[in-house]
This record gives sequence, structure tokens and C-alpha cells, in this order.
Amino acid sequence: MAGGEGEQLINSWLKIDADNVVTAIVPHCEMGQGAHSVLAQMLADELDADWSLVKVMQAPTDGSYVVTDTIRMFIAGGTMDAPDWLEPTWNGLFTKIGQLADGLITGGSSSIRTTGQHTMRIAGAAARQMLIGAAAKEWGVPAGEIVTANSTLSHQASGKSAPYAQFAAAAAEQDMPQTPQLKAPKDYRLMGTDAPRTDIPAKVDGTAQFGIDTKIPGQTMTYAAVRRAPVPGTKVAKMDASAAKAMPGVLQILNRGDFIAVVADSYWQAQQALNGITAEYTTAESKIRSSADQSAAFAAALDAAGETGGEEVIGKGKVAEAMQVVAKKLSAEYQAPYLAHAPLEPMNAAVWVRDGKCEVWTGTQVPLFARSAAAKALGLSKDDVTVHHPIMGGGFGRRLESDYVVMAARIGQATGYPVKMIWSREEDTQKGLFRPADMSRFTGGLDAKGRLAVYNNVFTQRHDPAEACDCAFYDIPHKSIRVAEAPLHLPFAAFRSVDHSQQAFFIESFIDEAAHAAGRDPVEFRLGMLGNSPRHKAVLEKVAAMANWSTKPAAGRGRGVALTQSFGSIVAEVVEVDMTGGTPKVTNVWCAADPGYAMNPDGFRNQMEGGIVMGLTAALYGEISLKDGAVEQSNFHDYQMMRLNECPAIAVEIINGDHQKLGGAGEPGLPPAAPALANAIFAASGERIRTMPMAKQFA
Amino acid sequence: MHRTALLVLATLTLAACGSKAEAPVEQIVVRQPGPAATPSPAPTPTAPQT
Repeated sequence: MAGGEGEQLINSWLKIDADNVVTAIVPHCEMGQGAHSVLAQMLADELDADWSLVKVMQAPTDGSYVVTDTIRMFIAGGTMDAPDWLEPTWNGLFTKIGQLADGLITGGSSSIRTTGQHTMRIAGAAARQMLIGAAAKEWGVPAGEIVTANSTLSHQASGKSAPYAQFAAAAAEQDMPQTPQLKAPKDYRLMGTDAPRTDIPAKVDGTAQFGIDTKIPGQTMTYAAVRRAPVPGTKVAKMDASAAKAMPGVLQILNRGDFIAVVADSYWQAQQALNGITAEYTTAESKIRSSADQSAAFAAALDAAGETGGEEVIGKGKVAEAMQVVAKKLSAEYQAPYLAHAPLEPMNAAVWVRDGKCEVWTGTQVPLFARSAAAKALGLSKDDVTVHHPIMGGGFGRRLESDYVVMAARIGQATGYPVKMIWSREEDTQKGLFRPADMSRFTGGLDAKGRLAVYNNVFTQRHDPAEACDCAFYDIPHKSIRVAEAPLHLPFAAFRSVDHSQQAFFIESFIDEAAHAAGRDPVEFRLGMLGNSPRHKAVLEKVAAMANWSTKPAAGRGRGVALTQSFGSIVAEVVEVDMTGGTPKVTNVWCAADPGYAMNPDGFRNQMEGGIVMGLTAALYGEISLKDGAVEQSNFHDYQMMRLNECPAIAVEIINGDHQKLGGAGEPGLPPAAPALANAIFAASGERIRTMPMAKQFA
Repeated sequence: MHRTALLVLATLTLAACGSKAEAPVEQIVVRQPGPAATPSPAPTPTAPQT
């Protein structure tokens, strides 16, 4: 891309305009997590830019902006480092893979620790060096004598000083340094501070434009409402649209086989007409018709696996032999239901297909995937499809999928004029893609000293990340973790924290059961297994201190704890629950987290808080259930969120444990919430909850 | 290997496959939208600035 009028592109990631405003060009998408702002913050710090003069621009949907370092982490499994001599080849290889594989992805809590750390900082530092080089040449002074601060270059001995803008054009002519010197934490000015987010003002005053707000300049928008067959895998067998086509505003009615769409002058008219269409659907092949059927499928897979079967994921020590000599045996079975992502902004996409080309406007976590998916559906080349991706009203993994973009493209193909497809809340809740349900069984044993000596686990769902099923930071001598995969009736989409969202509940509930079986305090029990994990130990001790764990809660209340590691961040949470009313009321959550280094502590706390509320929502209420093969829930009245009056006081403290090993922020706050709540309910009531959601078990 | 890597590789495979646009099973055109929606070059919306 090139700079606009009055702007100078210094490198791919930043430009400077005549008013000395630095624009950071950020490849990752913004869905409320603050990635745009914090990545600009990292670039601006290395650039020594004035934060009040920094703007953020979404990088175009272009193969030159693939997130090489994110792809590299996904493929190399977190190993970012390569020998210096191999680095250019390594980097070039992953860039090429990224370009071939549409690697423009926002997910995996990866933006800061990959692109931020390995791209934006380098871009800022390189640009600073280029500006210094240009000024040194013009002023005829040694580069080493020029200092930078607040977007200004100055040379003390000569008294010369100039804003960055003055040397932007000359800097762009300089060679781009490949390995510029990055700051040490002691020199950070913006990193590690609560620099105000650049996206908040527009969200507060209502000027922020989300995908659902798309209007194509100069064009009359039309709107599509859609209805898919209610049961996954089925199609529309017969449609009667005789009443709908006479309704006001209706332009076109489509049966596309897997869905029905009505296009109208307004969204309301389209949805009303859609409601007037009757249809019959084909029969599903799946034998799973109810939630009980789904549970039975899980149980059958686990029964078949027994205590040794299934595919081994982790094996350590001699589980079978060790179980023969344990002092106390343990067993437990846990279950988690399907969940809908339920972002506030439902799925939507605006498209205009004409003259062998397609233009798309949509909120997506994977704009290049979306482009390829639309191209494939329309029989076009990728180069004939343009995707614009505004900010999102929530993603949570749902917008890693492009099914809704394809639907919109197929509607736009039929109309030939601009159309914006919006899913109703009901469509979004019932016909989307889901966090999978899962079942997990444990057996284990305590040795004579009350230590967890044997840990034997088998579960049914393995998606991502691979390490989610383990608790490797606990020192347990004999361990077997296996997967016995069972069929899912509903289609999968990664949910915030993906497998950690259910695995943490299973694992940390079982660890808590082991602690109580041993007659040990749950925090002390865990600390006893953290001898080789000093950062985890520090996090657990911190949260225990925050929650005054050693004191007794008031009568009728209980506290529960959980410790997890996900996406490179270590998080412990203590939940306090009040059971005096007969149902669980969460009063407090304390959270200690070690992300290595929090680049924006306020933003990190914000993500922990959001993860906790989402985790508690899932734990208390979250359930997508099945009846006759279809989803029963439809909207927020029967797919309940934790509401403002239920939200507990949340305290978050951060430990900067290792600034060279950064962890993620978007997802790691969620996994400990559910097990900490279940453990708190047990502490308060003596009732062990092994199945989510929890609230209905007390209704 | 990270499972997302498998997704990446799957996408590579997908990209190698052919693509085909399908016609609607049923299409009922009631009327065309207003004249402003007739095809003309689309101005490129400015990238969102936050």
C-alpha cells in the first residue's frame, strides 16, 4: 500500500503525515479486545512517538499483510526463535506459507505475543533508526548524538530539533534495518502503561462503524433475512412463499437449498416476509436427536475406551501398576454442554456481486479466508473478490468461520445488486457453529501421604490447543491422558479459550476433589505439586493472598480456587459464592495472572474481567440443548447471560513474570472461572457439581 | 503440531481444489430495487480509523 496525500509510508506498518501524526497499520482485527490499540502502543514505544499523535488503521485485506509470526507460532507450536543465520529464510518461509494459506488471522490470543512483539516493535524501532539516519545526514552530525522523544528528533550540541514529519520522506529512502535494537523493559515509556485505547471514543459517541452498520456509498442498500434448515445436515425440501412475495418491501425470495433468503427494502420487511414462508426439510442422517442421545454417544465412546483405551495424548510413569498400591482411589465423571458464542453483533455481511467481481463488507477474524471462501462459492478467482472488514461487535472464535460470508455471497450472486444479510438473534443462536459438548472421566489415587500419585483421564473432544487437556505444571508421577473421540451433532467452532473452556472445568474440579479426598486445603494441595513450576506457584500464592484464603468466609459462603495455563498465560482465580439463598450467587472473584509482561495492564485486566464474566455465564447458565435434532434455545431469554446485577466484584492483579515469554490476554481469563465456581459451591454447600450449567441444578 | 496448523494445511488443500458457483434451487423476483442500486463503479470505502 502507499501513503495517502500528505502521508509518507516509512515501512509497511507505519506512515507519518504532515501534521506529525503517526498511523500504525495493524494487521489483526479489532473485536473489542483492544488489539488495534495495544499493537500501535508497542510500535509507538519503539518509535518514541507521542501517543497523543498516534492513529490506528486496519491493514488492507492483502496477502502482503499476513501475520507471519502468528502463523509461525501456530505451526512451530510456540517456538519463535531461530538462529540468526536462519532467521531470514525462516521468516520468508512462514510468510510464504501465510500467503498461500490466507494467514491473516486474529485468534489464539496471539496478537501481542506474535505480531506485537516480533513485527510492530521491530517496525517502530526500524523507523526510528531510519528517521535518525535521515536527520544525521541532513544536519551533518553523528547519528549516535541524535535523540528521539515525543515524535521529535533533536541534537543537543547544535541545538537542532525537528518533528518526525520533517524527515519522513528522507527516512523512507533509508535502508530498512532488519534487526534494529529493541528496548529493554527499563526503557519502555508506553509499553507497560495504561495508554488510553484509541478505539474507545468512537464506541462511546456512537460513530464507530461495525460490519452491521455497512452502507455502500452512493448505493441503495437492500437487506436479506435468512433461515436455514433447523437440523444440521438437512436441506430445504419444499418452500411455500406465496404469502411472503406479496408482503411490503419484498424484492426477491431465494431457496438456495441449504437456506431460504428474503431480500427486501429493509431488514424488518425481509424478516417479516421470511416469517411468512413455510417450508419442509429433508431428514437428518444423524442418530443424535436429543441432548440425552449426545451424552449417550459420549458415554459409549468412554465406555469403549475404559481405563486404558483411546488414543494416548500424555503418558508418564506407570499408571496401572501405581493404581495397585495407592492408599485411596478416586473417580469422577464431568460433562459440559454445547455453547453458542452469542456475540452482541449477530453474523452479517454486505456484498455486491457484479461484472465477475465480488465486494464484501463484514466483521471477520479471518479476512483472507473469507475472501477465498466467497471466491470459491461464486466460482471466482480470489483476486476478483475484495473484503473490507470493519470492527466487530464480538467474535469469541465464531468469526473464525466464513459460513455467513458465503451465504451472503450466494445471495448477492442471485441479486446482482448490493445486499446486506443479517442473521436474526434466533438464527444466530440456533443455526450457527458451537463450542462442543464434551464428557470426561477420571480415575486416580492418593498415596499414603495424601499426594496425588496417579491421574488417569479420558475425554471425547480434542480440537485446539493440543495442550488444553493437560495440567503439566502439576508434578504428578503417574499420568495417562487419552482421547476417545465421539461424534458431535452440532458443527464445531472455536469458542473463547477453545478446549480449555471445558477442560479446565474437568481438570481443576478433579484436582479439587483430590484435595478434599486427601483432607487437604485446596490451595496447599496444589502448591504441593508446584515444586517445578515457580511462576505458577507465585500466581497461586498471589491469588490466595488477594482473597484472604486463610480466613473463613461468612456462614453460607464458600471459596473455590482454580489454576490454569492457557495461551502462554498463567491464571489463578478464587471465586466466593453465597449459597444462603439456595442458589449460587457469586459475590467476588479474585484473579492473579502472569502473562509474562502486560503491555497495557488496563487492557489486560479488562480481558481478564471479560473472560471471567463469560466463564461464569457459561458455568451458571450456558447450555445449548437438542430436541428432535434441533437447538432448543433461541434468544437471550432462554440462553441467559450473566446480567449486570449478578456481576461480582472482580479484582485482578498482574505478575510480570518473564518479559521475554509473553502470553495471551483475550482467552486465559475464562478457563479458571467455572472450576473455581464449582469448587466454591462445594466448599459452601458440600454439593459437588460435575455437570455444567450449574444454576439450574439449584432451581 | 498445533491444530491450527492443520487448519492452515487444510486451507492449502482447499485452495488447490476447483470451485463452482451453483444456481439457486428457486428464485422468485418480485421487483428490482430503486434506480440508485443499478450497477456502477463502487467507491472504495475508507479503511476504518480508530
